[in-house]
Amino acid sequence: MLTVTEVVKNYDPQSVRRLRKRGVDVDTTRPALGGVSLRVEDGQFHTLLGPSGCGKTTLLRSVAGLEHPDAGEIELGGDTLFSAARSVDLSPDRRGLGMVFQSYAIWPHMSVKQNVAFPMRAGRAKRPKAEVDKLVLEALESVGLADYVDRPATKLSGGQQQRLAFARAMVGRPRLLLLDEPLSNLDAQLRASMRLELKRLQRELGLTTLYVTHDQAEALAMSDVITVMNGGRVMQQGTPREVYDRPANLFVARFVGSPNLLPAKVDSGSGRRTVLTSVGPLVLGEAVPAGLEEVAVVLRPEDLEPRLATGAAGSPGTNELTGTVVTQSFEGECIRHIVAIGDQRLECRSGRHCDVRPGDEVVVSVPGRSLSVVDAQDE
Amino acid sequence: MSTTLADRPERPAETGPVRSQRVTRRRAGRFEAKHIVIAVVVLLLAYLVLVPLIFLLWKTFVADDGTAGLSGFAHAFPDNADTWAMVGNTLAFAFGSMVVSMVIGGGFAYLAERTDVPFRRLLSLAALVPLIIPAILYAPAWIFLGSANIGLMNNVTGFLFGIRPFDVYSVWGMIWVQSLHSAPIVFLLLSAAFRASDPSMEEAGRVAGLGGWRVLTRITLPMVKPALAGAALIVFIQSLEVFEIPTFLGLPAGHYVLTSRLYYLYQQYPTDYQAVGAIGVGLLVIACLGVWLAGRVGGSLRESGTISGKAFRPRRKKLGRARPWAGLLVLGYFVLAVALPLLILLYSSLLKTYEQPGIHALGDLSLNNYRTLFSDPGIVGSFENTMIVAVCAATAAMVLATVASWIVVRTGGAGRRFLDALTFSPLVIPGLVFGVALAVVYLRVSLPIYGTLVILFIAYTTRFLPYGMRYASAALSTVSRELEESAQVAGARWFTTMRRVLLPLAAPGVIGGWVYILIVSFRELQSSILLYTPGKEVVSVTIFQQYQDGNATLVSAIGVVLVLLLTVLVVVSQTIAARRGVRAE
Repeated sequence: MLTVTEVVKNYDPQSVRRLRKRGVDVDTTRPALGGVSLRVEDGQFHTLLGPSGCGKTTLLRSVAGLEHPDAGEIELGGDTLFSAARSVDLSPDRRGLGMVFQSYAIWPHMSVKQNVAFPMRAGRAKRPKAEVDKLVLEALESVGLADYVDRPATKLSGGQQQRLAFARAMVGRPRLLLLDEPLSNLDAQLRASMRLELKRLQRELGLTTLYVTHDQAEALAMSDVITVMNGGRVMQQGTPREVYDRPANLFVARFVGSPNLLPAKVDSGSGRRTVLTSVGPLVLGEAVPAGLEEVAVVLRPEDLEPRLATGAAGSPGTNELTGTVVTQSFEGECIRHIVAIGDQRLECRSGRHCDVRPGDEVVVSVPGRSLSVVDAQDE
Repeated sequence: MSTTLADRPERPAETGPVRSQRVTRRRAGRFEAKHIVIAVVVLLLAYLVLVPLIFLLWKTFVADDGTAGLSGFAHAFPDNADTWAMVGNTLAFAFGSMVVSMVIGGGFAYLAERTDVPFRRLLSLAALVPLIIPAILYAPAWIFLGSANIGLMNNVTGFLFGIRPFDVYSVWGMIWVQSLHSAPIVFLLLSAAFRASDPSMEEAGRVAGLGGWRVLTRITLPMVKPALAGAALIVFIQSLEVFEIPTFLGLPAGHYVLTSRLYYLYQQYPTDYQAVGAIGVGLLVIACLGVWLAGRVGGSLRESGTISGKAFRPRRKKLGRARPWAGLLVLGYFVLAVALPLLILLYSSLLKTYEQPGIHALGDLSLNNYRTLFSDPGIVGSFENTMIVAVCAATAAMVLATVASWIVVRTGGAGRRFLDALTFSPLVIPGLVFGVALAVVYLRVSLPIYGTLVILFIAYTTRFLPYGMRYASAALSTVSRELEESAQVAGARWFTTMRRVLLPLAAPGVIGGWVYILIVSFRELQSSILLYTPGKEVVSVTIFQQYQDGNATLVSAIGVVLVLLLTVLVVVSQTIAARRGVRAE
């Protein structure tokens, strides 16, 4: 189990330079990590999700020992890896971790086998040669590279290098596996298949994994738990479903998916289950917690299907909005409509056989249980 | 990394207590092999570079009796016509060589990169001249070619037109020989700059309606402005510090420049170190002014050394009817800069005393000079000495440079800036000045260093450190940081990571730098001439002495052997450079 407690890290000039070179706007008046806490259970696939410069990679590198936080504690399975209070900061080679880098960091002067064997031959946890050979072969087999043992590492394709990096990271069964955007350099198709394969390996080996990505689809598909970060702080922690269905604030709502956000006021007369928006009152699946008055309603386009206005009423508990289709774009797996309801425009996504057209009067059903609200002020 | 933590500005964070004070103390307390290595290297570098400079300044401004003052300057620069002539010569020589070599080198770089000029490969061959024909051989070769009395070129024009216009023993002669010798550097730097600048910018200019000349002056040249400034600076400093050419070509006609004046004063007994130091400080000040001026237009000594950047596919302008003439120009340049000097060296090396080429000379050709050369223990010994010093200096400089560039490339903070400046500063210190400074140090310090090869080893190591830095930092920066980090996370200690991951990947560049330092060690005269001990000469000093003793044809023979040796080394280094094929991104 990995526990990260109140980790603070100020920007150092070097990483600011590195970020700025990539075109990321860095606000150095706040820390890179402003007191981040999280807990990764054994065997869990835990994802740090956020935009560039949100601190997710800094946090991962702090866990690896490649960055040095200014405050807080990091513990792994009862051992203290870092503690500002107790003056502990183990160097990376003493932490016993496995890590896959964004660039894979395959050593180009070694063969496939030498790459995988390196942690057990040159690392602190040296093992006898026969055992190393066996473990290397096992690791390469599990990622499907057993036929490439003696090949120079540079003679592998991008996807194969990625597998090799993974084999190298997990060969010693590390207590914790760190993955820094490992899929971002692959093309879209390969990325989708590697996503599944990575998840399969992680589950089979029961590896406790901390995964960094800015790709929400990746995070949703692979994770047991997602920690959404922004500006060096944790925005929300939860299962993919929780993060998607019940975003904790405006930032999470905007970053995960691309929903319609309607400003609204809570109608206290309805037991706090109705909100008043510019398109009329909307009934929610559950009551809005006390204390929230000015909110934003999150309407996911995929929950909104426009149908031709025929006069038939919808099922109870469903809000019905009447409007006009403004534009339509066919996108293969779905059709996207923009529907104007008064001054408000809603993006809707419907199945590919939906036959409403621009100019049609439509009714958009909004099921109350698929609606969520976030504090309109909170960013 | 942790070494620079102390430099980090402490910032009050809004969230939670930031205990950076405590953190700093903790890291400083933990000792690692890495920190010892870094500390030793930094101290060594500071010692090598700063101590001689401090001693030089001290000896210049403080007399032996302890009184501080500017009397050294008064001795070195007495207010008379000679002084003014010397200062005038120095500036005329340095600026003249700069302008001429910029025109030659820049012009050919443009032709080679932006036009379809024929014989392009001859130009890249000619670019090797400064490496394989040291100035100390180039000057005698040009005396055979261009002196008023025996100059081959005068004989040709005399025979054809009845005139003998060339006189290499003049300020113009010095400028000509120096420019021809340093034009290849300009050529290399500007070729690289032209290659790295996108030709579509020029095409956009043409489409926008600019004529060829305005494209050149408004687009092409401004794009390579930093490279122009950098190349001009390098050539200027070289011409300022070069000693061989003003001595061989200027002194016989009484033309002094600062370097030859410094050497002259240094030879006087007892040596007036204040005056010598004053000239040294003068040279240093002019060089620093040059760096400052070039810096204002974006030129830098440090950057100009690294030829890198993305290369664009060249789009060559058709020269049309001018093409044969341009080709002739290239051929003529190759003959003047490479073929003639080499041939005349080879020819004269076969003669007992120099005589004009012709039928009558054929009978006098012999290998006697080569026999003398290989049987003279002094000459053979000087080759051995050079080899010993060169190998040791190259090794030491590359070790220091590799660690220093690792610190510069891989760690952050203010310390790395200082280290960077420190390791590159020897570029600005003229060789003679550094020689004087070292002499002053080791005459004072009671270590058994003065009068041994060790002092030359120290001189070479320090002077060639910047070259080592160029190669090492270029090599290290091609190795991605993540390759090291992944080894660390995999459990490898710092030493293991360096040995098993970083060094194997950086090795081609580091070895390339090592060979390069070997090459430049063989031509080093400027500090050797002040620091050598009789009986322990190096090759360049032997050549200098033999020439002073009037054995010009023996010099040619030594020169031929040296050129062959250097050619082998250059081929080796180019092969390494070409094989730097390990993909390390």
